[in-house]
Amino acid sequence: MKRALDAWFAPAPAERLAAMRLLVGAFALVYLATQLPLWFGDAQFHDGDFRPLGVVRLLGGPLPRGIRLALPLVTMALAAVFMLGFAYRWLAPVFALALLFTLSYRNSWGMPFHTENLLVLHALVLAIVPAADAWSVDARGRAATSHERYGWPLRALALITIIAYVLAGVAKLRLGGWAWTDGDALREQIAIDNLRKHLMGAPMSPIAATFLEHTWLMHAMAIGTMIVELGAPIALVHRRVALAWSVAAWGFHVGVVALMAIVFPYQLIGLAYAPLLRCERPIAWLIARVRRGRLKRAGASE
Amino acid sequence: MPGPPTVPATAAATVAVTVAVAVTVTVTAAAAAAERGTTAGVNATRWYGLVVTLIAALAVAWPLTRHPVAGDSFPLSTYPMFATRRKDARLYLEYVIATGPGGARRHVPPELVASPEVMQAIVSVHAAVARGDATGLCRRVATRLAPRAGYRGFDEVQVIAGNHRAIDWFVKGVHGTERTLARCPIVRGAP
Repeated sequence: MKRALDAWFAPAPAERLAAMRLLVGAFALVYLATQLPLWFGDAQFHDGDFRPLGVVRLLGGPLPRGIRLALPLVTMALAAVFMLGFAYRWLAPVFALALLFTLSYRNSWGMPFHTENLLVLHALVLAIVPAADAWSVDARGRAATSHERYGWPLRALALITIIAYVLAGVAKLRLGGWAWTDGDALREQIAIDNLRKHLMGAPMSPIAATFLEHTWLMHAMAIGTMIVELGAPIALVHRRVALAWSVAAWGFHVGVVALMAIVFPYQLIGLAYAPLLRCERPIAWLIARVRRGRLKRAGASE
Repeated sequence: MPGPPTVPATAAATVAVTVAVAVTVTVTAAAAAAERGTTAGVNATRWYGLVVTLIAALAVAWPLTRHPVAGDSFPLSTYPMFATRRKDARLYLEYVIATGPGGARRHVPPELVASPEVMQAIVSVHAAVARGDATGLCRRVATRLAPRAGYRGFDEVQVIAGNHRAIDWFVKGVHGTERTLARCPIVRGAP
């Protein structure tokens, strides 16, 4: 028990947790910006289609148009503050709750999107941990350290990712049993999804039809999917195993894009798996590069 | 298919608010304790970490207690995507097409129907048909198409109910049946 606790609370650099804050904040900001046309177009928000989910069930009905338009803008502003790490203890929870409400509201029109769950869950956890102790306004002038208070939040974020994958595998078993791995259900889903897109005038996968002709391919893909989803907990065993699992899970999402044109951006960019990896390294490299550039320019001007 | 949720929305909302307040108080108190360092010989950072980890893990796993399809929610999901069997890959779907002289036909993209999201647009079209508003939907789409250069060769919008077998469609090239639910002209103003 003590060994397990020590492993869970093994120290990590403050920059690693700060990197998660920067990445999740930046993702939320860009993601909401790309969704603005949807929020500003009225076609989706027909009062009769309102099916409140999660925290939105607290509302009696749809929001007035003005408030609905303000939701993503306010959340974007809070995402920027979250990234900067300003007054983090107070404003980070406000951002996380705003993101929860905004995306829950967007998902309350008859169709929950499973592409946004991890983003919200990760933001909620990041908001209540010391993720602004490095690379932030709050941490200016303070030297970043390595401590157990920066390690467990990363493991908690990783655990959320892992449970989500296991749940997806369990849902397949509960609805289709082990027969799901024969590939027929996956083949039907791929065919239906692509036909739906075609009939709705949306782009569909250019290679799906070829794959649908080969049932053995579907069988192999179904087995692979189940291994990735139910086998997700092995990612907690060791960093190298985590990397291998992350690549496999990422490959699964690449396959989903290729065969169904369904994009899971949070997973495809790698943010879902970032807590399992040394995610501060690319950002540290970028910061060092910017600093070197500044020094060079300062040297040249003298 | 499972029935409707057995817990009324108001009761669920009350429970949700109570839990949220309790969690917030616990987390805030634990955060303050963690900042003070050790309390009564117990490492407060670890207590806080355990509380947050446990709450997060239980919350994310909680949908396991619910029906995989009917119990899906946001952000706590059962993740039921791609899980269900669809016998014969049968697809009943309402969709919108633009038609023109000489048999010209184009499926109207989701952003011109209801939403840039395909699935959201499907739900919106189905909801419009279910509440008897297929003609209204048809007219709204026709109004959106009227000023668009890409639809100059089309003069009518139709809301269609299609019944197809998706695998047959792609593998054998066999299309199913279609029924027109509503049709309306694309009315363009004087140049």
